[in-house]
Amino acid sequence: MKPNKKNRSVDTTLEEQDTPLEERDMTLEERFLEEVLTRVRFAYDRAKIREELRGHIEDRMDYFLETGETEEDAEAMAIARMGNPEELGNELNREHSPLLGWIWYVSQIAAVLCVTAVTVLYLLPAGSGLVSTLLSSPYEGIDRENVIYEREVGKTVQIDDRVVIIEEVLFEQGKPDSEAGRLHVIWRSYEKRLNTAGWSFNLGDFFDDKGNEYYERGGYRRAGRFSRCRSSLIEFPRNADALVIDYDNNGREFHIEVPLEIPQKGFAAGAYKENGEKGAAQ
Amino acid sequence: MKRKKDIVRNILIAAVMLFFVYILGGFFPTAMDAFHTSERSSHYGPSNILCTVDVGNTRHFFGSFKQTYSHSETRRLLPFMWRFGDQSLAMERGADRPMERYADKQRFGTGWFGGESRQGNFVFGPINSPDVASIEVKTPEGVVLRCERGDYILSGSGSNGEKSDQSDETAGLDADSSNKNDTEFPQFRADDFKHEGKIVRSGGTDFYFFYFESRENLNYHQYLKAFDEEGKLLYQY
Repeated sequence: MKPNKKNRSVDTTLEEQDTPLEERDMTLEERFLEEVLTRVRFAYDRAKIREELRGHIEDRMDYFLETGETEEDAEAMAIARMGNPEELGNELNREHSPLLGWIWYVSQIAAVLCVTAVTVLYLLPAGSGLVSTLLSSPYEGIDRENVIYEREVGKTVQIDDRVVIIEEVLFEQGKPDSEAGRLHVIWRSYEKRLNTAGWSFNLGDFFDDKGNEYYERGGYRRAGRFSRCRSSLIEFPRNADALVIDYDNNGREFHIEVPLEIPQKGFAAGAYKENGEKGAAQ
Repeated sequence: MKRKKDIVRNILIAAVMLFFVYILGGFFPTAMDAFHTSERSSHYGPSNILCTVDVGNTRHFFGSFKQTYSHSETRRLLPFMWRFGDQSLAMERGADRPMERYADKQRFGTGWFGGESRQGNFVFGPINSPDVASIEVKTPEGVVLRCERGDYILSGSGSNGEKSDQSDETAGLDADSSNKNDTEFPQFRADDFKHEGKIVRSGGTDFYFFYFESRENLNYHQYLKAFDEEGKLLYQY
């Protein structure tokens, strides 16, 4: 139904008598929108609702303009089709409940803050630590040319929540005529529990098959949930038959024996390089 | 409806993120959880907890395990967000001495914005000798605290500058108590501060424990003494 232009002008004139001066300059559409939006109590949504309603009004205005109405009539007819602004405002207020709105608003902020905090404080450092762990190696610092023998071990033990895996041992000769060198024990460990907090771990005490104890110097540690380590034992005899790792602290214990490959007598580090194979005799 | 779905989604995201904070940040819901994990991660314990004390946002656990004793810290960041702190584990009981002494102190502020800065002092250890009947400690301000073996003898704090009953009682037992008020900081009233002492039995061994607050940056205590039943001095530190 077309709105009555005459009635509209009377209504408008009557309205204008009670309307503040600044509102008299508002278009019909703006006044309609204001009347609707003053009933929406959740102010945060008003801009969005205004845009949505404006879109509807403009679509309808376009339709009436295409049917040959003047712009003023098209606007009035489009607004009339929108319904009673008071009812529409009340309906929108129910849909945009302030309580739900504020819960939504706060939950949005909380979610964004949580994601940002976790990313900046934990995920980035954790990722950086992981990359750093992957890029570095416990083999750094070992002179491969002087390695007389290496042996895979692959033994796993567990203490409390910590799993320790002895990966391999390498014997690095010091001087070519020396009977002793450094025995490198490559191992890694991780904690089975979910929480990442924890203390560092020392592998234990090291002995040869004759019961002589050896001490670490210049090893390698990578802190973190998953750590790769190297325990470098100094003055370890090259002809030892086995390495023994003993852990006995506070009621926890393990005992690992690693048979070692004995290099043939007279072997020198230089020969290893020249011959290109492990354990070659000079 | 969309808004309700958004709320559910946001709450789920926040919950997952908080879970990550817990896991990656090393937080625990209670001080006890943090303490147990701290010990387990050190491959020690579980200790028999002898005593706990709260100093500011820190809870201290004193425990015994086999022939050793320990002190572990847990720190509260927010309610239900505890982390573990420093620890001194596997301290030998030293059975050849009448008793052992572990002493530590921690600074803390009072009130929301720090306010007055104080120092919480611990003196703690096992009593190895059956001859030890009582133990005394003299605080940096000169107050003497005393525990009889097997008894909880001293607790609480004085206020308003009046000396607590317990302090008055112990004063008569202390040879140096005449100097009690002649402290290094005479303007300071130690009685406003909390002091406690107790002896706890665990695994057949008695452990003494003293906690007292003092002004910041003072020594742990002036002395620690152990006496036999006749009042003969057996040990002094």
